[in-house]
Order: sequence, then C-alpha cells, then structure tokens
Amino acid sequence: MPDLLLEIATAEMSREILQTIAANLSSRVDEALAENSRAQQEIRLFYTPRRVALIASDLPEERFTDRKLTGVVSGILKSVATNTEHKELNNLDPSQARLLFPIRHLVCLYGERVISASVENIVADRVTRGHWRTNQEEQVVLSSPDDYEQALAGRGVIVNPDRRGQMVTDAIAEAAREAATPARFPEGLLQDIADEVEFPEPVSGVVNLPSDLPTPLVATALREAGLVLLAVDRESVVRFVGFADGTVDRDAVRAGYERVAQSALRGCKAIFARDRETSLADHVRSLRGMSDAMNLGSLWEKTERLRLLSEQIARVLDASVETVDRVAFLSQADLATWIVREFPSLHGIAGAIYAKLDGEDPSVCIALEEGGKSRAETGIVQGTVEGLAIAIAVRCDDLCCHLLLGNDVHLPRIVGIADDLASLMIDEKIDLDLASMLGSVSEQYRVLAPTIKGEELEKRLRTCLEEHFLEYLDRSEKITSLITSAIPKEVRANPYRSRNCARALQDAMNREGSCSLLDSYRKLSTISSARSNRVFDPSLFEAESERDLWREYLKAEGKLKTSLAESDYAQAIDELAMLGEAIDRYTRDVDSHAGSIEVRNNRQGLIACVVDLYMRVGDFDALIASEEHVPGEEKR
Amino acid sequence: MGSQGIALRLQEFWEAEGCSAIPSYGSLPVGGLTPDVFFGVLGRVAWCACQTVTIIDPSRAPYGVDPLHPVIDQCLQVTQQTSGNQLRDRFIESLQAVGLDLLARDVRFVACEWDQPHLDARTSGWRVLVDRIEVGSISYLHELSGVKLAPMPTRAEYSLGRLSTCVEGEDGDAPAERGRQTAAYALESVDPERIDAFLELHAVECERALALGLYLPAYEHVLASVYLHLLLALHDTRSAGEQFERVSRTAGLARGCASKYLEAQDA
Repeated sequence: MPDLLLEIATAEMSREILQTIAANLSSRVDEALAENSRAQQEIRLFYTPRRVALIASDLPEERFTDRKLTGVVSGILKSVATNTEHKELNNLDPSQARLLFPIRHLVCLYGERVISASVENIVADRVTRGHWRTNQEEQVVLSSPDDYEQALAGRGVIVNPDRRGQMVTDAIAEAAREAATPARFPEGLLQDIADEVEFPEPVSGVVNLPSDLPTPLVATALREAGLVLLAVDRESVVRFVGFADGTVDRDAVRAGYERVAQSALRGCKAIFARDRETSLADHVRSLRGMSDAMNLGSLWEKTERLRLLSEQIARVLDASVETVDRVAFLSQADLATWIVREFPSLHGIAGAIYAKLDGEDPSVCIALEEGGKSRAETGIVQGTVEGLAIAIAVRCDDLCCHLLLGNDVHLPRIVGIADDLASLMIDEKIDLDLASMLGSVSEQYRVLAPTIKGEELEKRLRTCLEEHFLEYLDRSEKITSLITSAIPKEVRANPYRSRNCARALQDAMNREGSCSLLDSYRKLSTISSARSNRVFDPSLFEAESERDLWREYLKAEGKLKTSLAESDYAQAIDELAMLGEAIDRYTRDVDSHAGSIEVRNNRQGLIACVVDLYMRVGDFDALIASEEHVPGEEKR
Repeated sequence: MGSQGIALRLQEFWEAEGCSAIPSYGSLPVGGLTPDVFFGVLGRVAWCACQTVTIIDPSRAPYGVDPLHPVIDQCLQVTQQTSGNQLRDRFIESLQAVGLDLLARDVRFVACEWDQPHLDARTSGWRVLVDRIEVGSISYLHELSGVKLAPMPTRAEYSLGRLSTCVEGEDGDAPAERGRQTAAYALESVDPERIDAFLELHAVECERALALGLYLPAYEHVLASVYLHLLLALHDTRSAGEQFERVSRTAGLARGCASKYLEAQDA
C-alpha cells in the first residue's frame, strides 16, 4: 500500500507557531485518514523552521482514490492555513497570516503519483526545494515519499527533528572530546538549537574569560547568545560550540561567534560586578516595592509567607529550622539583582552564587540553589532536607497565590507548578498534608483575597490543592478518576499519600480477588446502619462468628494503624482482605435484626467500626459505584 | 567602507527600489517610531521612506560599554506603506549589496513579535542574525494607535555598526562618550518619582498641543514619554498593573495624535 507525503514550505516560523502548525496538521491528517479508512495510519512528522511535512504509511488504495485524496488534502491544507490556535495568527485575519507566513510551495505524493491538492492558488507537485542559503532553494524532484528524507538531506536539509537533535548531541560530544572535557547537555537547549536550523553545522570557538565569572553565569550568558559552553579551563579560556544553519565558511563564522561570546561575557561581567556592589541580604530590602512577575503580590510579602510555610515544613522534615528560615529570607532576593533581571533562568542559582560570595553558610547556599527552580528546568535533584523544605514552600505558595487571585487554574503554568509540587513530594516521599499548614499563613494570604471571609479561604485552598493533585494522578500516574474518587478526603491534600492510596486501590481492583474485597465490604455496608455509634461491648456478642469478627477486627485495626502510618496502602488492603472470611461467616450466621435492641445496637457498633476500617483505606462506596457503572473497561 | 559607507550603499539599494532617503532623525527611544513614520503609515496615500535614526536603548545600560549591546545605535530604517511578501528577498539582496557573502555566513531569520505598548502598536516579523550578531530586522506593522493598518506597512531596519562589524570582520567604532554617559545616567541617576513628574508634565503638554490641533509637537511629547518609560523600567519596582496603567496613558496620547492627524487629513 502506498504512503502519502505532504509538505508545506513557508518563510521562517517561530518554534511555537511551527509546533502548533505541525501538531494541527498531524491531528487533522490523522482524523481525516481514520475517517476514510477506518484504521489508524502510522504518521511520521517532520519539520524545520521553513517547512512542515508528514508521511502517512500504507494507505489502502481501494479507499483512497487520487480524487478523494485531492479533496481530503485540500480541505486539511485550508484548515491548517487558516485555523491555528497560536495567538499571533489568531489576532490576524487570514490574509495577513498568509502574508506573514506565505506558503512557498506544496508537495503531495501518493506513492509515485502527484496529488494535486491546492490552497491559495498553490497546487501541490513533486518538487521540493533545498536549503535556502547553501543550495539557493535548488529544486529537488521527488519520485515517491520514500525519497523525501534522503533527497533533502542531499540538499542540505535534515527534515527529521530528532535526527537534527542527535546531530547536535553528537557534535557537542565530539567537541567536548576534542576539548578534553565532559560534554554538557543543557536541558532544552539542544532541541532548541535543532529546531532553529535546517542543517546543524557545528562551529567551535574560544574566548578569554573577562574575570572570575562563575561558570553557571558563563553558561547562561552563552546560552542566551545561542552558544553551548564546553569548558572553562584553568587559564580562564572559555571553549564553546555554536551551530550554523548549513555549511559555512567556518573561520568567518567562528570569528563572528567569538565576537558574540566575548560580548555576552563582557556584558555578563558588567552586570555581575554591579550586583556585587550590594550583598544578597541587602537586596532583600528592595523586595518591599517589587511585585512578583506573575502579579502574585509583593516579593517582600512572599518572603514573609515563605518563612512561615517553610518553618512548618522544616519541622515535619526534621530540617534545620534556622537554616531554612535564612534560606526563605534570601530566596527571593536575587530577583532584585541585575543578573536575574537579564537572565530570569538564573533565579535561585544566582542567589546561591551571591550568597556563597557573601560568606553565607554553605548549607544555606546549597538549599537556595535546590529550592529555587523547577526540577523540570534544572534537573536539580533535591539533596538536602533544607532545600526540599524551601522547594515545597515556594511551589505551594505560588500555587496558593494563583488560586486566591482567581487565575484560571487550568493555565499550563499553574498546572505545571502543581505537577512539580506533586511530583516533588511523591518522589521524595514527603508525607505531608499541605492544606493543614496553610492556617498559620492565612492572614498573609488574606491580603491577596480580602473578600474571602474566615475559614472559607482555607477551605477553598484545600479544595483547589486536592483537585490539582487528583488531576496530577490522572495525568501523570495514569490513575483513573474512578480510582482517585475513592481516595479518602483527609489525605487528598497530601500527594504522596494520595498516590500510594490510589496505586494500592488500583492494584487491588486489577488483582484477582478484588471482587471478594468489594463483596465483603458490600455485605457489611448492606447490614450497617448510618446512625449507629462506634461502640460495642464484646460481652454482649452471642454467636461465635461475632466474636470471630471482633477478634479479626482487633488484629486488623492494629496492623492497619501501622501500615497507614507508613503510608503503606498495599499492606493496608491486604489487612482488609484478611477480614473477608470473618465477614462471610458473620453475614451468614448472624441475623442483625434479631435479639434485643441492646444486642442489635451492639452488633451495629461492631459493623460500623469494621466499615470505618475500610473507609480509612479508601472510599469503597465510590469503588462499588464505579464498578457498577463502568464494568471492567476503566480498569488499567 | 565603515558604517557610513554601508548606510550609503543601502540607501542606494532602496532608492533603486523606489524608496527615497528622507532627513535623519536625532534620538529615537527603542520601540518608538519617528514622526515621519508614525504619521506616514497612518496616511491614506502610498508612502515609503529610508531614514537614518539614532536609537537609544537604556535597557542595554547594565551591559556597560559593548558594541554588540549598544545603548546608542545608528540605524537605517526603510518603511514602506505598501505590503508585499517580497520583503525578505529584498532584505537578502540588500545584504548582498553591502558585500555579505550569504554562502559563507550563518544568516538566520528568527521569527518574533514586538509589542510596542507605548504607541499601542503591534509588529511581527524576523530578527536577522549574521553569525549570531543581530544586524537588523524585517517586520510588518499590524496596528498603530488602535488603527488596524491595511495594507500592512513593512519595515526593514539595519543596525549599521553591527552590520559593519559583520561585513568587515572588525569591531565597529569605539562607543562614543554619549553612549557611556547615557548608560551611566540611566543606571545611576534616575529617580522614579522625578520621572513620574516628568511624565505628568509631558502628558499635560501633549494634551494641550492636541487641544490646539498640533499633533506634531504633541507626538514629540509622546516620544519623550516613551524614553522616560524606558528609564523607569530599569528602576521601577511597581506592580505590572500599575506600570501598565502608566504606559496606557502614553498610548492614549499616541492615539490622540493619530486621531488629530487623521481628522486633519479628512478636513
């Protein structure tokens, strides 16, 4: 079965627009082909700054005539050309969008045949173009989709972004080998570089370090200039590599890159020197008048909140309260420095550098660096409990501020903070109910939301935190809402405990025997009365099965207490399963309606206590309801 | 050839494209438009101009004295009121006209957007980098002072010093004393409260001129305000909301200038 190739060539697009258009194109082609062939086709997506292309494999000829494909592809092209979610294009009328990113040519091949799809009077054919600069847009005639990658590679264009990324990675590794230094692969930068070019051509350079500029600052200054730091050697020589787009005169380009690198470092040095005129602690005073970049109140107020929050977290984590308080005090100070204004990605890192130069305690410096940045951005793994305490406090505070200011909680940035916080607490096994800490800071938060009265503020924060964490479990841990809805309310603001609970419940539901666990609970819940109090007198038990259940209950209760204290929900579920036989016997042998009122109430007391044991592990009513509504298929 | 020679060569190139040189403009804050361009693109007759301007960018002050991060930059701006999708091709040809070897150098077009909130303007296009040195930009002006521009005017801008560095392979002229002093003033001597007071004075004067129908002197007050905003941005620690309010007032004055100009055209 033939493959389908579609290529749209434009002027240079920004990475954001490019990825939006590529994603749109891919999903529309996927939808259109699935609709017409009733099967999923494999789609390979390609892009460079000047083109977006895809190859859909094995389209059945009996379902896709040339005429049909022409209509389908033309429809897709029209919708992609005029319908994109990117704000820059959304703000323009379609004619203006076309002017900015005019389609320069189209290619559409179905096997060896041209599909004459068209948009805006441009008709697709089999001719693509080489690299605009190095091959002067030389025409490349394609005989079939199989030719596509190879033919363009021969004309200076690598259309596969992963391959360009690999070329960049390999080139950095090679340059590092030549410079006899370990290769650095700054997160995000490599793919950024690969996405900016049609053909990454490495050009290495060397400049002198203007003074004792700390290496993270050197790396950031070069990174902002699009260059990758390889090493700073003992003689203060900075080695770097940059990537030209296509083949170039290396000497000429190297001279340009070195000029840019020298300028970036000189500028960085000037900024660094200006910052060093004031100590980091003195910068804290400037925070009084400074607003958070996300409009989350003043940075001074934030510092005060962080001190309160982190103190409580420090106590839970058994961290040094004194160190954590100092770190919280300094944590926002670098936002008042010129270096962070110029390079916002250095927030936290610059603070740690300046703190060290100011002679702050090493534990403070380490925690400043660990606590400031998102792990996704830096890859920093929390090594100290003090750093961890600050990291949690910063994220928790950011999230609470957004929630209180009424910002859209589904914004990617806010979801990102919640995810970062949840993953941090889960990975580091932090057993902490975040909402319970907010009481001591509620007065500070009230400044941000003066109209929210009394306990309503804490309640609202708790609800929002819970919702975010449950969504995180669904999104990142692939735990369905049917399961997360059964997480006991009192642990939902504790991501670590919630995750453990949800995992254990999900495993239990997937395991053989889950039916007996649910059956046991179902039997109990049908005979239990909502009004019964949780007291019973063992001397009033009449049947042996009652005494049996009581004994098993006592055993389970003790073990459950230990398991839950350790957040071991899997073990807790095993303890509950052990009650199964006793419950079976009880429900078989004992008539809960027989006997005197005193005896009946006594039985209800025992049943209520056993039901409570189940509910401490999970909301089994919710699990039963979900089983009844969506039998089996929602289980993963 | 030097930056002056490059400016002449570029003017000749654009003259041949039908875009004549007009008198240069003294000091234009970055993000501003010269009065010729501001009113030219709002006008209802086809218009184009090639103009050298001195652009002042106080945000570069922390970098100190650096030819690639100049506080004061000599630029050539070519503005055409007629739209066309040949701008990129013309720009490439102009780079070749000043002696840049495209086959040898790493020439990039990096798509970006520029919001110019002080003038209520929106522009998008490409920054142009040669060996990672930003030598200029090409852009489309979508909106100015609340007026949607159709057809969209185009602008090609060249940073003459940096382009000269790329073409000739040598650092440009040593930064002038003016740049050093402007940077020092921007960093050391700016008092946000005094700047606020100056902004207020300019706003009042601008409104007074507009009331008399004198949109040209009124617009000079807008440009002076834009410069003050740039100075303030280096020091102002007020909330984004407060800063936005202040900038909006200047944008409102720019809209007033545009509206008076259009009224005069219609009269």
